[in-house]
Amino acid sequence: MSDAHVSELRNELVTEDRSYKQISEDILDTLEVPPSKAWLLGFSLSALFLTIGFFTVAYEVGTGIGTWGLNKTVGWSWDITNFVFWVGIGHAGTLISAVLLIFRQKWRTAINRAAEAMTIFAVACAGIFPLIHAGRPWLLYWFAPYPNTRGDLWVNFRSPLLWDVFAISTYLTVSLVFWYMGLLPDLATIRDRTKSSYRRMIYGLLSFGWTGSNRTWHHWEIMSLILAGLATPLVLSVHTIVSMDFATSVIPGWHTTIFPPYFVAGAIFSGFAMVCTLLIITRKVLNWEAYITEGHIEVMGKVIVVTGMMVGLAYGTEFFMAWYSGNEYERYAFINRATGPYWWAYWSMISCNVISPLTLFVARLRKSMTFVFIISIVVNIGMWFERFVIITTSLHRDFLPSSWAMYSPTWVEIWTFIGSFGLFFTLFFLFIRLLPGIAVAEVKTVNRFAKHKRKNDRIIL
Amino acid sequence: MSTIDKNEKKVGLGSSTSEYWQDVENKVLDKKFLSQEFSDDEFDSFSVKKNRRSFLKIMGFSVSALPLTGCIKIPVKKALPYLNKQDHTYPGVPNWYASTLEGVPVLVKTREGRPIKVEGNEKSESFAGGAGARQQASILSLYDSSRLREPTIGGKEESWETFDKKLANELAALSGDVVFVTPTLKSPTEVRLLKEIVGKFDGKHIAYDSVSSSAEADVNEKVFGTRNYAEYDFEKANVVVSIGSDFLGNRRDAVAHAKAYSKRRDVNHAQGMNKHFQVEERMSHTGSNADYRFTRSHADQKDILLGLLSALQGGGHTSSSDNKDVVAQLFLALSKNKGQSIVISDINEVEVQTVVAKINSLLGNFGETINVYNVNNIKVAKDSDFQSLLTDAKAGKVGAIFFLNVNPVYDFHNQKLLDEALRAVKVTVTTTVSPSETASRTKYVAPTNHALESWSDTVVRGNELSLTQPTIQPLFGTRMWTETLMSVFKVEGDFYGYMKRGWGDFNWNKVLHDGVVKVESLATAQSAGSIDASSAVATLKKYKKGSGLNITTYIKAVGNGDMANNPWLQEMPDPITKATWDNYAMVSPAYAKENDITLGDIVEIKVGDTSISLPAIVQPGTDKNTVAVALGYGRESGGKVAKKLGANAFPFVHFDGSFHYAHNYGTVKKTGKKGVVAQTQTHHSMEGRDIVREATFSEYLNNNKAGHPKPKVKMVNIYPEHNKDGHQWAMSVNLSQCTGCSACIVSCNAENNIPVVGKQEVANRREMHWMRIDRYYKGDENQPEVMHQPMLCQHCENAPCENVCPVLATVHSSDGLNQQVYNRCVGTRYCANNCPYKVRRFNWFNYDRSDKIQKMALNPDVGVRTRGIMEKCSMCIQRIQEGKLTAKRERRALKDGDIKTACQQSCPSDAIVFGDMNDENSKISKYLGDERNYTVLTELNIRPRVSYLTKIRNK
Repeated sequence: MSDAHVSELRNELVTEDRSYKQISEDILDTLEVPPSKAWLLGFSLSALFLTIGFFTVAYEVGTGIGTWGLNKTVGWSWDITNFVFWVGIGHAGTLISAVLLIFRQKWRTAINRAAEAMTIFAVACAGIFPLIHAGRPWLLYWFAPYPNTRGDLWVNFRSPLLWDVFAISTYLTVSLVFWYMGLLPDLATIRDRTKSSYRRMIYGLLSFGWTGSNRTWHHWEIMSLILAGLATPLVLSVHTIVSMDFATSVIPGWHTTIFPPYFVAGAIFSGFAMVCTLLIITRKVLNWEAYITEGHIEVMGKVIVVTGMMVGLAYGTEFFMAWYSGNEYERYAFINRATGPYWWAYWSMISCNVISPLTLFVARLRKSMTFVFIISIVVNIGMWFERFVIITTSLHRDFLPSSWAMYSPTWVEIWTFIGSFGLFFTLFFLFIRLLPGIAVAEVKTVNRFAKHKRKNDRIIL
Repeated sequence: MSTIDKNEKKVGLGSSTSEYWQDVENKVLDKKFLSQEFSDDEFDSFSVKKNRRSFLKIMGFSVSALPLTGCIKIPVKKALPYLNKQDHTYPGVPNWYASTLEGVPVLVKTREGRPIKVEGNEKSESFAGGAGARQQASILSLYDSSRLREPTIGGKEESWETFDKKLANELAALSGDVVFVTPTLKSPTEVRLLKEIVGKFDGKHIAYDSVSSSAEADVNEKVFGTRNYAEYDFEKANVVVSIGSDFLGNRRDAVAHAKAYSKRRDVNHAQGMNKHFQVEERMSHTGSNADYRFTRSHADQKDILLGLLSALQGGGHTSSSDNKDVVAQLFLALSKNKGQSIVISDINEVEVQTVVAKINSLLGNFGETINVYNVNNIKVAKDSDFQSLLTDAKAGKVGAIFFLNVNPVYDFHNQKLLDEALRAVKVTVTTTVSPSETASRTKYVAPTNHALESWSDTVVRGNELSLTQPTIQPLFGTRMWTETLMSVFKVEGDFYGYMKRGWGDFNWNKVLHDGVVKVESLATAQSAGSIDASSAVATLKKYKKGSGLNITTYIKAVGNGDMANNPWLQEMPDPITKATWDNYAMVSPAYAKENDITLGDIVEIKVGDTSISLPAIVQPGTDKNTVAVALGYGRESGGKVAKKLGANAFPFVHFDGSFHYAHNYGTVKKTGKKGVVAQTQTHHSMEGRDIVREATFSEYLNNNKAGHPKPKVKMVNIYPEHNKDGHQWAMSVNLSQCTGCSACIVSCNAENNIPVVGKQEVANRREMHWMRIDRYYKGDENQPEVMHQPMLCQHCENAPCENVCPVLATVHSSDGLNQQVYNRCVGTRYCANNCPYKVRRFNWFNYDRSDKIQKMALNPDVGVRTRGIMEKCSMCIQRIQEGKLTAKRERRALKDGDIKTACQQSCPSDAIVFGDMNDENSKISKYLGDERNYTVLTELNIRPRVSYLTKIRNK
């Protein structure tokens, strides 16, 4: 690897003096010691929610969608809201690892691993909702266009719901491969460091026989670049296609051409917020403050401000277009969002997504971990409301006033949603225990130690 | 007994045995089995029972079996073929029988021996194929598992032999009158039978209607010399003035009225449109169709009648300033249309009816638009008869009372008097189809056959006679009430023979086949004598409003409660309030605002010592000082459906020469509690949208396109048009003719096996009706204009539902239908979300089909949907298919009118037209070419195949 050149003007990416050995120890030792009480508590709580969520879903699948609060007018609500919410969160990981890799943003190295893991878990959570929202989920294999014995029956390529299937499954596959390939050098490091023979065997298998030779590194870097190239358009395509579920329909409030960019911006917004939420805790608990620095959080704060403003612009544009189109249904749909019976959802969304991120313009606040943590949660609440507002308030009052109806969730929907958080955090807790939460090999490339030593001792990496 | 023996026993109509019916598995339904099957569970949630055990069961099942479900095959159940083919029964081919239900001539469709659908009998002159919601729903009353099954004495089941013997013995040992109480009987044979029985000893036959028009009959008796109700010819009337009459609603002959009335709502009628004025204190179904509707209290209605009479007579009464204008308008319209108008009122007070008769007589309407026929052997209710019966009974003069299909223990207003009377009567007998309060109170209970299991005859209108014939063997151990009487009172033979003998030289088979026959000698129109209204006027002038609110009662589809156990009727949205499963207190918006009452607030309505608590509905078009409550609810017994729904408002009726329904003064108080009113529509304004288009008659005459806005956008299709060869089905609804009666909804329910979901699920906005009638209000809250719009799948050519379904479960057919493929549906609900009309219905649960008896009402031509599947109007594709096949078999082209959808067939006002738009001469092509034709949400360019004709009001 070439000299790690870091500009003097930039903030240091690893803030404390750390040798390579120390880095390995700091990050990988957590895998070797028994779990802490905090981890155990967090994991048990997540697993409990997951279990309750699982049984709730089983009850719903066994009884019928009627266990939810949906009705003849509002055919989707929390189910698809949660789906879009989780897919959105799943955007940050690939963006950080792929797009930032291509743009050579070195600061990504400390957070890309966790962000990508989060992506995969979020997409897994998202994937549950389209499955369970169907009336007869046991027949969902009909979504797959494979040669079958059902004669001419084939899938409907005109349906955005089918595009979703392809978009999400592609995204999940590429993200998973990218993430796993990135793990290889670190898995090998674990294999080499561990004293337990069975761990050596398992991590040995998982690391695909990584040798650390020049050739291996070379292949690995090229492959990372190619996968990044593949993943980058997916970052844009997934939420574009998810947004088409709505944009291609005829329902006022859904039928909007602005949706693809608007949804992508929103997804990055919520994804970065979720990364902040997770990493602010992780760095504290695992003492990784030297790697995931305030600088990292601050940069993400900036991304949140920018995407937040993009989302705000989209909200404004929608209103302008509703007025400018002269379409009475469209106009009503938006007036109803802001002043109708779900006004509280709309204004929660505005205050969480448009107003609250503006505070991050202030550098002092951006650097306050507590404050960013709070804002990151507020943003995700807002983004959940955004999807709720789009889906529910558009449906509940559409063309014919005779069918206008209200929607409210049942305990089944609430627990299914909590259960999806249970799944997400259970996976995240397991990830933190079993895999390196920071890309060890990559973070070594941006270590201040390298720069510092190079000047004095001319150590070649 | 072997299976074959049982099969053979089915042949013939003579004997009735509970062992008769066999289900597909050839399992005899015995009583014990049935009583286990149908427990009296609450009926408010059909969907699923959720308790701990079932939760665990589902849980265990779903966890372990989910991965397997894809592979599970549904086990094949064995069905046994007929061993001996029965005459005229072809599996898969329906048999039709002409019959009569509640005075409406109908045809009953039976499949493999089971009646499954009721349609109007098109051979009838006055009903012309129309059938109301109640007649349509009778099927479910027949297959009602709460029906009484065996005769009982003192609650103990007995055989019919013992029952007859014991009853006859007890009657023989009796002193005092034997009184037979029936409702108004328009069956000549039944009346003749009762006459014969009564003639045998010191008996009496009186008729008691709990919802009575007795006052009208009283007046007619005086004026025309015969006790009968008037018959109205709405087709002849240019002007209809209704003073609180719901003649299109749930009044007698409503179907015939709608048939004739709707002809005059057609702009192309030779005499033009009629003009309909309605003066009423609550928004009635009829009032919602009026051209001019005036919200006026009960007292004001009397004032207006007096004003009108005095205007016609030339002075004498000055109406109050509020009503003067109304009187002037009515007078102007009526005086121009003498002999061609109708003044009608439902107010059951002799004085009011006298004044109405006087007005009609002054206008020369008698003999023209209004006829009173003298019919031999009918019995019309007289309220005072029943009242004096009870006084007599209390005094110990009555030995036995037969309650023949009446239920006074529920629906008589003065229960104290009734109770005292019944205590003094030694022998009490009830014949009834379903359990009733009266049956629980009387010693002898003789369950009777449902009308679809019975023989009878009915004078439907004028001299038109319609026969009732059984379409199925009695399901249970019941017996026709007429045969019970014949058996107890030793009249020879069976009722069928009795009836046949009575009619003598009929061409019996033809009459039975046609169902209806004109019998010249049956009825003669009477001419009106002179009417002295002076004392009636004097009494009415003295009428003083009581203090407090006027509590007025009315009836909904369940009538006086006799059909309260019918789930289809209970779930049918009321044409005005769109509420289901309940009665409620209707208050005016003004009163609600003053007293802070909102929808669902439980209010206590109190008159003297009687009080009931009901949820409130704020109903536009209600008089400010009036509370309207529907009768027929709050049944104590009556079956699992009827129980616990609403509250009984009959105590608010009072007797003053006749039963008074419209005025009783009391108080309404908010209790602070909230109740649920399950409405299918909760937003009542069209929000200025172009949904129902309307124009006035004069605007229409100037410009046939009146009511259509200027097209806003030009429609561009970027895809090629569908191929439109062959048949192309289309439907059109004439909004001028549709009265919103909702018979089509029940007809659709029956035809398409639409599940009943129960009150809670309707409140959750999950009713399954494929067809709904949207009702919008316009204008002043106090006197709103009402619009009814039937809404069903619009079968769009560019259907938004079709392109979003990921698995192609909803597709377009070559004949232009939007089809839902149940087997293919995975239930994403995307199609329903994307439907601009919101006409798609999702199966949220597996709806309860466990009632083995109710299941017999299912139409075998239509599949039953399981949970997780989307469904919607199919344009009765099974009927289209049947029509096409019949034409093919007969080697002829399909004719216009061969195929009628269920909604179209039953429509009493002929508002729905369906047919092939490729056939230039079809009625639908004419409708589509009509300048009034439009489609809803045209601007979406989804090109619906269902269109509407502008609503025209004669203003």
